[in-house]
Amino acid sequence: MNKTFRIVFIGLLVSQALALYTVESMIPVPFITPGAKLGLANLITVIALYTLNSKRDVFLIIILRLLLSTMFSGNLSTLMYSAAGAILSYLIMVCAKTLGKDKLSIIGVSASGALFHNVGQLVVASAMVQNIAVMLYLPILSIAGIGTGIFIGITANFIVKHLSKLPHFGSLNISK
Amino acid sequence: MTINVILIYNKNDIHEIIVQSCVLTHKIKIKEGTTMFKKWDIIIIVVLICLSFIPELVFGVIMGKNYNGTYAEVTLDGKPYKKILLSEHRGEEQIDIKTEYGYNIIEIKDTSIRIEDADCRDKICIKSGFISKPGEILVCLPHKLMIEIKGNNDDKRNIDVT
Repeated sequence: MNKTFRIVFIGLLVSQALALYTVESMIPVPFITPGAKLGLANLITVIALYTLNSKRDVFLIIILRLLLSTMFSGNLSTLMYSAAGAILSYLIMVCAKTLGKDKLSIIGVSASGALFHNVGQLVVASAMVQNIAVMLYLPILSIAGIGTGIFIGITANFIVKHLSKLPHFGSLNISK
Repeated sequence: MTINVILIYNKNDIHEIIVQSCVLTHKIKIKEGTTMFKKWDIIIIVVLICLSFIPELVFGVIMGKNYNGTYAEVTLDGKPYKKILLSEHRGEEQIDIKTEYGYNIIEIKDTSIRIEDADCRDKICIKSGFISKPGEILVCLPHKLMIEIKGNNDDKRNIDVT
C-alpha cells in the first residue's frame, strides 16, 4: 500500500461515511426510542479497521468524519455526543480486534463497538445533565445498538471479503 | 401478497415450497456458517447484552436502600435528640418528651408523625397535624422542640429522579 493509494483510500472512506451519514439522517427513526439510529457511519469505521494497516489512519478517518458531519448538519452538542461515542467505540473495537484475533469475527467487533458507542454517548449526556439516572436508558439503546451492530458486521464482512480480492489488499487479515 | 399466493397454490405445492426453502437455507448455512458467526461472537454479544443491564441493577440496589427512606429527626434546643425511621414504620406509637419547659407527646401513625398533646401556651404544634414528606417541619417554639422529616438521599437528586 503506497502513499498515494493510502491518501486516496482514506479520502474515499471519509466521503462514503459522510454520504452514509447524510442518507441516514433522512431515514425516519424506526424505533420507539428517541436517539436510536442505524449507525451506518460505523460501517466505514469497521471496514477501515479491517482494511487499513495502521490504527492511526482509522482514527484519522473517525475524526475527519466527525468534524465534517458536524459542519454539514448538527451543532456543538451533537459533536460532543457523537465524538465521545465514536472514540470510545473505536478504542473498544481496537481492543476487541487485537485481543480476539482468530476467535472473534467482524460481527462481534462491530457489536461491541455499537454498545460502547451508546455507553460513551450516555456518559456525556449524564455529565451534561448532571444526573447519573440517564444511564438507565442504556438497555433500550444498547439492544437496538447491538442489533444494528450485528447487521453492520455482516455487511462489513461481505465488503471486506470482496475488497480482499483486489491486488492492493493482498495481506488482509480477515478471518476466512 | 401472501393471501394471493395461498389462493393460487394448492396444499401440496406449498408443502414442496417449504421443503425446498428449508433445504436452501440449510445449504446456505453449511456454506457460510463457518465464516460468518463464530462461537465467540455469540458469547461476546450475550456478554454485551448482560453488561448493558448493569446500570439498571446498580440503580435498583441503590434505590432499594435509600429511595423511600424517610426519617424524622427530633431536636431539642438545637441538639439532636432522637431519630425515628418513618418509611418502615407500621402501627401507632407514642413518645413522651419531658423537658424543663414542659411536656410533648409525639404520636407516630404509620409513616406520618404529629404532636398529639403539649402543655405549651399557643398549641401551634398540635394544630399543624400530621407530616410525612421530606422537608416538612413541626415546631414547638416555647419548648424549643423541632421535628423535621428528612430523606436519606439529598433533595436535589430526589427531584431529578422523579
